Amino acid sequence: MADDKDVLRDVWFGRIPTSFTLNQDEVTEREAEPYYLLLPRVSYLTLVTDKVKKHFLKVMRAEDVEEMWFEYEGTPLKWHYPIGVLFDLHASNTVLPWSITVHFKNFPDSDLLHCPSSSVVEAHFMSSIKEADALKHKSQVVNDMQKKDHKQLWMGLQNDKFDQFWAMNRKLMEYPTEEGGFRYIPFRIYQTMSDRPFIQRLFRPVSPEGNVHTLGDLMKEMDPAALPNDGEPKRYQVVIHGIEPLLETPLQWLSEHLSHPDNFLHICVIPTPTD
Amino acid sequence: MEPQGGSSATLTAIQHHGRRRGRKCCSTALRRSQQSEQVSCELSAGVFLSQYPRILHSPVRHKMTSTTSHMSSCVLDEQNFYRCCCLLLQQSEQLNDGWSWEAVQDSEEGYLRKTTLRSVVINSSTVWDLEGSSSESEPSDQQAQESEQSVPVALDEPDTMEDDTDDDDDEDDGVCAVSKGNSKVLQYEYHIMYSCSYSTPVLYFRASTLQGRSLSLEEVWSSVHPNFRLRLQNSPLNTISLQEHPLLGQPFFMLHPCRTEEFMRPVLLAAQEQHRPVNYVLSWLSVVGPVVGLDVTLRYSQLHPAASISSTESD
Repeated sequence: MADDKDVLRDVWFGRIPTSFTLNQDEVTEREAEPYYLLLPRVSYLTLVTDKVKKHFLKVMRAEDVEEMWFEYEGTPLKWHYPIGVLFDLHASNTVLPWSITVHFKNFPDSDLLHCPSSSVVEAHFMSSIKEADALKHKSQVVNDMQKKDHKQLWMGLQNDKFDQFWAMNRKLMEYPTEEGGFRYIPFRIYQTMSDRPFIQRLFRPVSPEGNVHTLGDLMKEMDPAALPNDGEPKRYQVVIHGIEPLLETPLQWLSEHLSHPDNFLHICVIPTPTD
Repeated sequence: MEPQGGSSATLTAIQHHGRRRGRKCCSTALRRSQQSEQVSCELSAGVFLSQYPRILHSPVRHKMTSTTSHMSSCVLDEQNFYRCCCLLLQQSEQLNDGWSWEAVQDSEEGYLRKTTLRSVVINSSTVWDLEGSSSESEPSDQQAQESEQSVPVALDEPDTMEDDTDDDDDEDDGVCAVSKGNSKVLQYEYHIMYSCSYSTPVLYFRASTLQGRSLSLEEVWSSVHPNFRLRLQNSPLNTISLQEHPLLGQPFFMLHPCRTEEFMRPVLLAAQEQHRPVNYVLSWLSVVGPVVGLDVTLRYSQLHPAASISSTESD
C-alpha cells in the first residue's frame, strides 16, 4: 500500500534539530560556540556526532579530551538508545532546538556504556536485530541471512540509505500468512518515572482466539498505569516516534511500520504536559 | 562409543588442550569429567558445538528446531527458570555457596546474585585484539595500543614460576607468585536473569577493585582464560560485552545468550534419554560460569539434582 510505504519513509527520515553546547567546566583555549545539527531519530548519538567532536576539539587541547559523552539537564544520555527515544523521553514537550551538553571528562561509567568506536555501535545494533528476530521468527530469518546481508543492514543505517536498508529489512518483516503476524512483538516501554530502565516481555500480536491485539491491549497488559481510567483526564502520553498512535492501532501493523531500524518498537510513556 | 555423553571425544579434546597448554585447569577438567557425568556433559556440549557447525545452517536444522521446540524440556520457560533458581538457591544455602535472590518490587520477577573476591595476577603479556572479527581493524588496533601494558590474568591455581619480588601488595591471600607484576584482589558480582527473547538464563556481571574502580572491558577480557578466549573471539555474538542491566539500568558485562540453546540441547537430550533430571540453570551455569571466573562447585552434583518440574526435595 502506497500509504504504508510513506510511513516507512517518514519514520526513517525523522529529524530533531539539536544544539550542542560544551559543558562550561571543560578547559578550553578560547570560547566554544554551540554546534547545530539535525539528528536522525532512528540513529544513535555516537554514530552521528563526529562533526560535533571535531568542532569542539578545535578549541581544546588534546590532553583535556577523553571519551565524549552527552547530557541533557543533568541526565547522562544513553547512546545505545535511539536518538528519537531519548528526545521523546526527556525533552519532547520542550522548545526546539533540543539543547544537549557535551562533556569530554568524568565519563559516568556507572550510568553510561563506553563507546570507543563505531564497531561497538554496530555490535549493539546487530544484537538488537538478532534479538528482535528471535522474538519474531525464532531467529530463523536472521540466521538464514549471510554476513553480507547483516552488513547491508548496518551500512544502510550508518550511511542513511533507506533503500539499501529496507531491501534487506523487508525479509525481517515477513511472516507466514496463516499465522497472522509475528510470533512475538519486539517492543520496549520506557518511562522516566520508573526505576527499571524499560519493560520488555513476551506479547503476541494475535490472541489464541484470533483477536488482533492493539497498542491499547499491549499497554493494558504491560503498563496499565499508563492508561487513563474511565472518566479521568489523561495523565500520560504513549509516544512512538514523537507521535501518539491511536490505542486501537493493531500492534502487528505498528511493529511492521513504526519499529526502529533495530526492529524494536520503542514506546515512551511520558507525563502529559500541563500548560 | 555412543555420542550421547561424548566422553571419548571429551577426553580427546581435553588431552589436546592439555598438550597445547599444559595448564592446571585442564587437569581439573579431567578430574571433573571423571567424577561427575553432569559436568562432563558441559564439556561435551562444547565439543559438540565445534564439531558440528554445519548442522546449524543446513535445512535439516529447521526440522531439528521444530521437533526439539516441541520437547518443552529443551526450552526454558520463565516459570521453570524461577523453579530452577529456587532449587539452586536451596542447594546453595546447604553448600554455603553465597547465592541470594533479589526480587523486583513485589513481583516474582528477580535475579540470582552472588559476589566473590578473586585473586587476579597481573603480568606483562601483550594485550590482544578483542575485536578480532570486526571489519574495522583500525579502531581496535588503537584500542590495543592504548590499553595498559600490564594485563590481569586470572588463574584458579596459578603456576608457580619465579619468585615475585616486585609484589608489594598485601591485598592478595595465598596467590602464588608468577613471573612479574602485582596481584590484585577484585570484587566480582554475578547476576543470573531470564531472557524472554531467547528463553534462556543470561549471566551479567561486573568487576571492580577493592577501591571501587570498575574494570574495563579490556581488563575483563584479559581475565578470561586463554582456552575460553579463543572460542569466544571467533563468534562475536557469543561473547562478553558491556550492556545495560535490564532491571537496574547500570552498565554490566554480559555473556551473550543467543547460543545457549544450542549448547544446552545435547545436555538436556542426553539427560532425557537417561531419565536423569536436570536443573537447567545449574547446568548452564556450570558451562558459562567458569568462563568469567565463576566457579560452580562440584558439590552441587552430589546433592540430589531434582528436576525443575517435579517436586523439590529439601533435605
